[in-house]
Amino acid sequence: MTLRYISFLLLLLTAASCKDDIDIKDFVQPAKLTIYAMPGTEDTTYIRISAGIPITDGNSSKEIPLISDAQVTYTVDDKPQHVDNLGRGLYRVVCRKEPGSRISIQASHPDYPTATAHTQIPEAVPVKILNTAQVSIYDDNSATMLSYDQIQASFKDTPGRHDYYAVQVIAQYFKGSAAVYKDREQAYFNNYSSFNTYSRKDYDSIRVVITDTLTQIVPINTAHEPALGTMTDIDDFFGYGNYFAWNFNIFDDALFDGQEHTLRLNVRNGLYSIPFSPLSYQYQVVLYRLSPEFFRYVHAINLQDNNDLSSMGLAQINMSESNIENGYGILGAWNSHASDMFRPAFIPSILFTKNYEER
Amino acid sequence: MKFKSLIYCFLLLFPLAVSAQKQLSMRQAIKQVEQQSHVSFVYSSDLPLPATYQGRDLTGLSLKESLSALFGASSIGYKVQGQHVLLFAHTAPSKSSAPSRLIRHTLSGYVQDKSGETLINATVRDISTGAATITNAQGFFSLTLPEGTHTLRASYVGYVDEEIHLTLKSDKNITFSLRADSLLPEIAVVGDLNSPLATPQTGKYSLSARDINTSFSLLSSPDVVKTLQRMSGVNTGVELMSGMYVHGGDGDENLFMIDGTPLYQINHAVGLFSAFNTDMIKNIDFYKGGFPARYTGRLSSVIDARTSDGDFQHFHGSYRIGMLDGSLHLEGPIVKGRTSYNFGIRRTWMDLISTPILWAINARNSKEDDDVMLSYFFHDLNLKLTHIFNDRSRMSFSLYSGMDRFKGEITSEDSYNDTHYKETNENSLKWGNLNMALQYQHQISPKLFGQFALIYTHNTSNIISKDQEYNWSDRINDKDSYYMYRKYHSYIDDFGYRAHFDWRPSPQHHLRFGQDFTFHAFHPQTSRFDLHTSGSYAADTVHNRTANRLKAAEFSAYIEDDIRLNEMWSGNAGVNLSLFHVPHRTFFSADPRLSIRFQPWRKLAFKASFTGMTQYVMKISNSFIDLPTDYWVPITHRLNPKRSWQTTVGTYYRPNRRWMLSLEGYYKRSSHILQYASWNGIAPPADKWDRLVMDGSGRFYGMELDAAYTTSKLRIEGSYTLSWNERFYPDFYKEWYADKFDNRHKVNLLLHWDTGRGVSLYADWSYHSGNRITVPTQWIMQPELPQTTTAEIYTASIPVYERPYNYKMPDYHRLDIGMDFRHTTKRGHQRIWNISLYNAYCHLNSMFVSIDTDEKFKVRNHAYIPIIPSISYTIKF
Repeated sequence: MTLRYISFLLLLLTAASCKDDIDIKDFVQPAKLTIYAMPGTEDTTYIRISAGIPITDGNSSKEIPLISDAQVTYTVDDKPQHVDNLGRGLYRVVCRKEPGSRISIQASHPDYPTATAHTQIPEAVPVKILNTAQVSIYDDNSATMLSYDQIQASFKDTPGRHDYYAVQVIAQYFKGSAAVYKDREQAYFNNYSSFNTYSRKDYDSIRVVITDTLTQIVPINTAHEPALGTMTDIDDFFGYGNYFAWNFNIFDDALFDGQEHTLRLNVRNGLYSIPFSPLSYQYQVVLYRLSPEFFRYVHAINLQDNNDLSSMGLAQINMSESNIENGYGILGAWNSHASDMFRPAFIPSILFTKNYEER
Repeated sequence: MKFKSLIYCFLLLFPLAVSAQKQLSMRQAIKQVEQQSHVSFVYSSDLPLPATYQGRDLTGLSLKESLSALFGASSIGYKVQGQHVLLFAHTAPSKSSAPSRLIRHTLSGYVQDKSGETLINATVRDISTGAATITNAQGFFSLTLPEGTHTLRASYVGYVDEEIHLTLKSDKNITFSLRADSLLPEIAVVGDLNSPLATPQTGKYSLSARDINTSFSLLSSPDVVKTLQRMSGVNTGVELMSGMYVHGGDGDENLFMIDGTPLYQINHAVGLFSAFNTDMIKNIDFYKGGFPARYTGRLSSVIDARTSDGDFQHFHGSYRIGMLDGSLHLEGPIVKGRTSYNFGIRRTWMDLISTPILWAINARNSKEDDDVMLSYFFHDLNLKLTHIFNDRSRMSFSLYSGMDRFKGEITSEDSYNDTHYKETNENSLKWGNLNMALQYQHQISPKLFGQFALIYTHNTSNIISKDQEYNWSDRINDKDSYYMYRKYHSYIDDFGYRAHFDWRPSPQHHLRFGQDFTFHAFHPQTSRFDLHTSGSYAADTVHNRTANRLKAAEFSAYIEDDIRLNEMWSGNAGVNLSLFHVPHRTFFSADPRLSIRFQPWRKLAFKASFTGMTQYVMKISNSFIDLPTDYWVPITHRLNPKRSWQTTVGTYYRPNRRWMLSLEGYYKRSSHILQYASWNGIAPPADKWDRLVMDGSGRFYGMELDAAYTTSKLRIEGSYTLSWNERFYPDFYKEWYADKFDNRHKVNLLLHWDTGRGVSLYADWSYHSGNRITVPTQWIMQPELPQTTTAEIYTASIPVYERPYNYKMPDYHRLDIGMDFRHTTKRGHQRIWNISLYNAYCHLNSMFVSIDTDEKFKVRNHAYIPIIPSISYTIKF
């Protein structure tokens, strides 16, 4: 009897394994228009109109169909504005807008349902840089401590209201040299670091020449800024990141509603990020106020990009956001304020002065 | 001639036949009715049954007509109760006594087995009056009866009934000691008050040790959670991850209790095994619907596991060696009849083999090769000490410790001339529970039973990473060193007491009331970072410590009454009041509980229940699988506790002793179910998690059909669940959407056959509709953001995720098969070989589906679990 049972077991063991096929071909979604328009207080607003491709048909580099013959209506505070059709799905509106202006857009095309959206230009929030400091942060990739410039920028949030922001740090780099003369000896320096190390303040004369400037948005290490989401090595281990698409570092006021908040934005100083060794550099912080739907739109993209576990189907993935009715994309309103350029205290001010000479 | 002979014979034999029928003894007549009406008669042996039955022929009569014929004119009364006919003597009123008040006394005590182990949910019935009750979680019963002679019968599944005859003149204490008999049919307990027909609760299952220790065990280890996963209304989540999603609820909405203490970590090996050592389990009550008022704290289910006290009379035990783990179980008296112990340990043993093997491999490696050490183990340790002071008081101490530990270490070493290099990278994960309960049970009066307990629960989760690097030269007295240590630690300490009372003022009422207090100290995400560098590394020392402490006090009081109005109507009504205090806010909730049972016919019952539940603590997780990074937190002043309201209705039908059928429908609404709102991190920062969650709602509804056919050797069970699980988080998606585990259909078929020749077979086929995943639907143009927007055309595309969980993965199905080969040795020890096959026909079920949109849209089905054979060997002595 026992033999019979074991034979039965062996028979089962020989059963061939089978695995189910996944066939995602039934996602035939109705075609819709994709609209992008990001009006601020600037006069010119570009509108891009295109159409989607079914997910199974395209890929990330396949050209998206551009809709150049859409009927576009654009209103500011219910007043229709002239829309220029620039071709290839690009449209332009030039008009005055102010904080509080209500923007509406409608795009019609015979092949697609009419898409509409509304938004409102928010108030800008003043921001100023209080200080910069040098900090060290442990870097997993290089297993070393890296030095950063920490820019401390402050602004006041409006109480009792859910506000949405984005912040960018702009660095302006100066290319040039400083020639120092002392007792008929001459020394040249092309970056502030060597200048600080070797120069003597009792020089007889100095000549600073700035030959070029470079301005760029620099990536922010969010290790010291909770509003931007601090990541731990555990998060990194499970495939989570804190990458902000387009260096557009968005956040909301959930952690500091109604309070004065100082952002601690760590950036790698210029010696590492540009093709030349800068003589000096300075920083500017741009603080954006975003309409809620604009924030949610960018936030959703960030969350999708930063979650390996969800792409493995083991964690929830965020839905794409849009305020375009019957369509995709975003009509996202924004306003911004840029701080004054701030020069780090450790860079002598003369290194910022074009063609400076002192005898 | 032949015809005449036949006539003569007929004429001769007919009167004889008639006379034989007329002279049928009463017991024979009863037997005849039992056979033709499929009932059994229950009566005291001293019942004055007439010797013969002289009434009409019983053949073809209905039960009612037969009973009328049998006892209509006699002094014997009868009462049909389920499949029992209870017989009792009509007591003629005494001429001297006043016909007014009936004197009643209370009979109380314990039902236990021969070893002294108390039996939970055993039925105690007075044969004379039909009054009955069941034992509580401590095996205690109390029954108030009229003064006089009674026959009490105690019964329990798998045990031989015991009858006690007694004359009740005052309150009395008795103990029933039942004898186990594995050959008894599992439904031998007719009139079982814990059966679905008799209990007013909907959605309740009681599992004994034999329900869990079936002939199948995955990787040779019987498993509680996987047994519960077979139940209707329970979704399993990701394969082998021991998920339990009851009526659409989350994994943290199940209240797991072991001897009354809550268990936070219920799994080992990321869900491969559950944290219950089945050797120790005596009984599990599982509720998914009509929750009694004594339970609170979770929304979706209650799993009340009780461990055995241990044998008070004899020492015995068992040991088992399986594919991945082994277990040892010992029990016996410390002081015979007074004090017992019960000890069980289960541990995986693979590390005991892998460590020396890896050590040997590393020793043979050349110096340039990396040395790798990997080890993993888990253990469960249970200890229970019980002391009986007297027949009214006893005390027990129970301890549970469960721990998982993974350790991996890579060492690289190299030398070049006189310079040397050594690097060590070490990672370890450790998580588990420590639970302790000191319980004192006291029979305060014959009708009142009290239980008092002090409890302590510790739950911990550690992730440690250590990197060390050295460079040194023989020539120079200098060393470059690098040392980095990271520790991530979350732990919980719960202290509390419980006071529960069981009061049975009359046979119609069984009141339970009590009060619990728990102080929670949560310490999520305590982290430590140390870095030391020297030599040619930039000399640096960094120490970073972060700690979080969240305290909460939970107080609850409850009262419930099991009301038995008559044979047709019974119910359970109660309320649970709870207070939960956290800094800056105190929450209060009153959860009503109501269950009603209507049994119009002995084979058929209808039930309905309405329950409210509140949950103040929750697990924060950002994944569908159980990870050591998950942590528990109490609700804070910014949020509201989770609430649920559930209505369940059901029909229960037992056409005969072998069949049991039930159909239940439920509708559950949950509110304030929280979900981590930001998915860029495995878990939100513990200091502000409450600002990073979304508040949502759930609606879960469906129907469950269960059928069981049981004989003494064969058990066939089938269940089917049709369910809808939907959620709504306005900050996530604007409409209601189907949940990840919205498995529309679930089917489970189970067969357990004891061949009677030392071999038992088990087969279980399970099927459910596939889990759901979110799949993008369109490629659209990528946007350009403010101040980067120009008149350039940029047509790179991004995927659009339009609706959550919009695609159903392939359906899940598998067959598990197991066989036990039992043999009793000459010494009387039982030897059991178990052979089990998980996923016997090797259907590779989808575990998860990955989606790649980096370049082209690619979907990949990840299905890895093939047929898993396992074997174990057990000796019971």
